[in-house]
Amino acid sequence: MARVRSLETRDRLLGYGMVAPAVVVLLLITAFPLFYNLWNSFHHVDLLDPTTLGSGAGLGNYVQVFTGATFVPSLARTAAFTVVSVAIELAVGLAMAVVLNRPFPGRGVVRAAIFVPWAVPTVVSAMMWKTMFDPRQGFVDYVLGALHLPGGGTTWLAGTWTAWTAVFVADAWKNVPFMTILLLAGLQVLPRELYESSRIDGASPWQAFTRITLPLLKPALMVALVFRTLQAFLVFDVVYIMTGGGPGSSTETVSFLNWRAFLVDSDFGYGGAVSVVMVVIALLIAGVYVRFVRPEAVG
Amino acid sequence: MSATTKPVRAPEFARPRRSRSTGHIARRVGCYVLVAAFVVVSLFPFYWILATSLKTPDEISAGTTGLWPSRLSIASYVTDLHSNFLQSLANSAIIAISTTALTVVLASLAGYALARLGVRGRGGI
Repeated sequence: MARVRSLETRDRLLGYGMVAPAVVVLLLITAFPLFYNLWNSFHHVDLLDPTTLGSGAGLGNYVQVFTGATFVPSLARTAAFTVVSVAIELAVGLAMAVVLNRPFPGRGVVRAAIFVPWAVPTVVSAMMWKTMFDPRQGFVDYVLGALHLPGGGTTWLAGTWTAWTAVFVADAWKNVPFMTILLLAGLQVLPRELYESSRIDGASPWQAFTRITLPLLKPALMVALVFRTLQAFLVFDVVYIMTGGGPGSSTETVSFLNWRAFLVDSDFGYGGAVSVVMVVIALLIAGVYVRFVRPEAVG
Repeated sequence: MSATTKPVRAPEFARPRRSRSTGHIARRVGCYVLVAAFVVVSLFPFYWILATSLKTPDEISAGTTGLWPSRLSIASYVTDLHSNFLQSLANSAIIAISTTALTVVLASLAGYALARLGVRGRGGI
């Protein structure tokens, strides 16, 4: 083959060669598990039941997901967790972002200080808060008791609602800074002139906030909400570390249920079906947000 | 969250006329209190970890009775060094170095090719 290739073709071939390793790695770590899991979800892959291993299950696993006793309640719990935790983080994060957007002495240090929790890995922060809520080792009960507030002497992780409270605190402590960073970045690019003219027109600070800040902040708000909603929906580590899904199964989320199906029950068919349903729900959530955000981003 | 409403009036032109009004001062104080509360909540757990690490093992097992250690001790650090801490540190270093190296090599190859060599299908990125 003595044909002389054009420079462009040679470049392109070299290019494919250079992209190939990354593509192969990505296929191995994302596409392969995705399709393998999809295959599993339509088959009997219960490792504890070798007789049916690998035989087709049709939609059996999915029927089990929606008619079984565990998935629907844990989906409801996860939805509630997602709504409450994202609402808390949005409210506190927005307040922090607005306050930190004002100039005041020491602002740089304060910004750095409140972003520290975000840099801590979730497993570490969950472990840490588990200790903090421990009636003997932690400070929560001690501080509440010393201030004569209700809740001192509570064994937080032993009751359903107190365990959820502990999980919410740990989750918010780590994720409020993330919300704050994104919203602060959004606030910093808002044009000052709008506030100036709104003042000249006699707008109150509250009106300026609802009529100028919130509408202009919408793209940043949407990005922050998409990230946090999906992360909250897939929450696993905080629950796994702090409560182990307990007491009973009262803090089991869908990710926790999925983990249990895979690694405790060794049922990769049922677990696969749970995963697929979770992916579909996550895609739906993302799709809804994208529909909301798109017109704003263009305009 | 009534506090969210306060800070919005933008800084530069907040000053001229109403800067000495009580409403303005109250707003400022409110913001400082809010900021202080955020900082304390963010950092207090780290202080607690530090304080606990400096307690004697006996004091830790006796439970919380105050906000700081009654007697400072580095016993926990000594125990840590004598257990597998150094091995764990080495393991972390191995993983950090090797994954960083692998990612940089693969990503820079692919990045250069996608940006400069006219590979088809790059529009998807």
